[in-house]
Amino acid sequence: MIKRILAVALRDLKSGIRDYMILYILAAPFLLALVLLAFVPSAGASLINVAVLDSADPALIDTLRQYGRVELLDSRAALIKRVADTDDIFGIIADGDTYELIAGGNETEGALDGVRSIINGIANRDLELPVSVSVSDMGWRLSPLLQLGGSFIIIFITVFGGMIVLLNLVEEKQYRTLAAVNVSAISRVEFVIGKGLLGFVIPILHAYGILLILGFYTINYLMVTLVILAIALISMIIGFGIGVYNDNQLTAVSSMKAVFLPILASLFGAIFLPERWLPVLWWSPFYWAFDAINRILLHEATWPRILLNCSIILFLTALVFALMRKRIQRGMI
Amino acid sequence: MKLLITFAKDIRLAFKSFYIYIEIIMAVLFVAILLFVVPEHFTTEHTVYVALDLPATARDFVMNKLSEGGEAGTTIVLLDSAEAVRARLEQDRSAAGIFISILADKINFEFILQGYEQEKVVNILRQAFIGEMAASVPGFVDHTTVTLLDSQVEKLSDRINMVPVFLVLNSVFVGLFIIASYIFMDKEEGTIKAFAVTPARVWHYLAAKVGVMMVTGLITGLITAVAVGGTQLHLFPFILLLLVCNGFGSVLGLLIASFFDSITKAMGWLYLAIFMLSFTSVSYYMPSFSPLLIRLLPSYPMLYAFRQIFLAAPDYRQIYTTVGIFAVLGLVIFLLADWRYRKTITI
Repeated sequence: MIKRILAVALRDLKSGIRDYMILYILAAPFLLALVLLAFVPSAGASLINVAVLDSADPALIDTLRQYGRVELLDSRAALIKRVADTDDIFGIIADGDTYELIAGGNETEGALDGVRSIINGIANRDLELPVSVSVSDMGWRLSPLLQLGGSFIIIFITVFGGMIVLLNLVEEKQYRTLAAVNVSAISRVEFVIGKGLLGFVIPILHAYGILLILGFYTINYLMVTLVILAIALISMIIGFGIGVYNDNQLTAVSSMKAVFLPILASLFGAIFLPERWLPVLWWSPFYWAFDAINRILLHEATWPRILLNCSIILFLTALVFALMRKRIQRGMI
Repeated sequence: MKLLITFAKDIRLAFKSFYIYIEIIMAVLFVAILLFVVPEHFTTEHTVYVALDLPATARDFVMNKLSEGGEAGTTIVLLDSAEAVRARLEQDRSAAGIFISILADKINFEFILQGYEQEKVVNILRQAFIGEMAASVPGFVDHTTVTLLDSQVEKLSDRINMVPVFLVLNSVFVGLFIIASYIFMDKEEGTIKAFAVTPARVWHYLAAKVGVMMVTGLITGLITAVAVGGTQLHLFPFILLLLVCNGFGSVLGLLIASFFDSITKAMGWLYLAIFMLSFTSVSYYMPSFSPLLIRLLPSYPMLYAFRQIFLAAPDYRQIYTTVGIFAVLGLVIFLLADWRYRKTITI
């Protein structure tokens, strides 16, 4: 049985290697991780970005650089044009000890008050204040963008594995090889497992690669593997469900795109919703996977918690499978 | 004429297949979520854990300052000690804390951050706080004057503000994913070979596909924009913007797909493209985070142009500039794609 399953998987692998298919599939997600990594240094919380005249006092420019990006422009008109742009940037023109702040009016609420406070704080630095300020930190260096972005990419890429299986299947249907399988010595279950094997292996390779590129060297990779396997299973069942019923790639890709909607809703919900609202996402296996990966990246994951999340994912997978079983069976004929 | 016939045939086929209906169902679902689940206005919530070690008189002063300084959506949680604050921060990595005590005869505000915050963010926090405190001290002089370029800036509701993101990522870039599968499907089914013996040219074939994507995008775009925006929508510029941007997305999909010989190979790269394009929605929601790399992505100006469509007094110059830029870019990429497909499409 294992021999037959491996034969199916190896055949896919062989044809994949022959026309560099595997390379194409493997490479893109790693590039995505590199792009995310490139954004991390520039993505802080709200910085104060300003535009000043290039004739401004260099000391003022240096001071402003401590709070954000400073763009130098040659005239007041250019400054006004820049401020009117869509992003949050303020114009500052110094005249003696008075500073004219130019705002477009479309900036984030409170941002202008922040700039005023900073400028006034600098201009009034000789005042004796009744308070002092100090800053300390918890020593936690992992940026939220890297942490949330990393979890996000990993879940999405796992779905990509399901998509590959789906496209493979559609191809089989197109070339009518699926009908040939029905009269061969291989059972349907063996064929399905063999076909799905790559859908498990590819996401694991992707997840490891992405996490290493993003610099997560010390997390528990065994836990990562377990979560990826669980989520790859449901992606694959959805992929199969769509794939066996579509002998045209157009509908298949568009159905898969439709699956993105609940996935995106669960992931964005998990990131942005306040905690008391999270139960509205409990139906989604992608939410549980995101929660698990997030805990692993934060070094907060415990085995009982990961096993709980994976069990919930498997339970939801079983439900989806029960709903789609007939459909998959019918489509395989 | 040949183009029209090819387009009409493609449209008929599209309506016979499932995919156009899937797109419509998706748009209807999105509208339902927006109208029934998403509130019209919402605030992002932050938690600040605070502990005080102060005499009673100073306590009142500080509590006043804290309640004045709190932004909308900020929840202040009072705790017993600095240790308790730190313990909570270990549990909640997105929160910050403040420990207020007497230090060298002054009230000292110790901001306890997580540690991932950039140096510039720490500087802003420190200096903005000092500036705010200075404003209440005798002898303070306001050294700033404010020139507001547009004091009547209209703000969209949070709900409508989400529509441009869906429009750009779904209705505009629908072609990016779908058009590639279209081409490969035709290739594998042999339709392209059949097409090669007709009098129509390759660009007729490509343009007809782009046309189908435009119709699909227009249907889903109109469903979303009309249902959520209602009378606020400026219909003519909306349709023009959507068609031009959608055309751009489709020809981009054509160009990317021209480098591959099967959808499975192309999929990863199309995935990468749509992911990169969606990065701009982060800047759209957080305008102070807008590195040049993001501002150069095509979806960035599109998002802002679509936002204008819903304003009572839209900036038509911004809308039509975006239309102009993408019309030209779309045409250039179309010519490039045509050149590439003429070499590869029949292979």
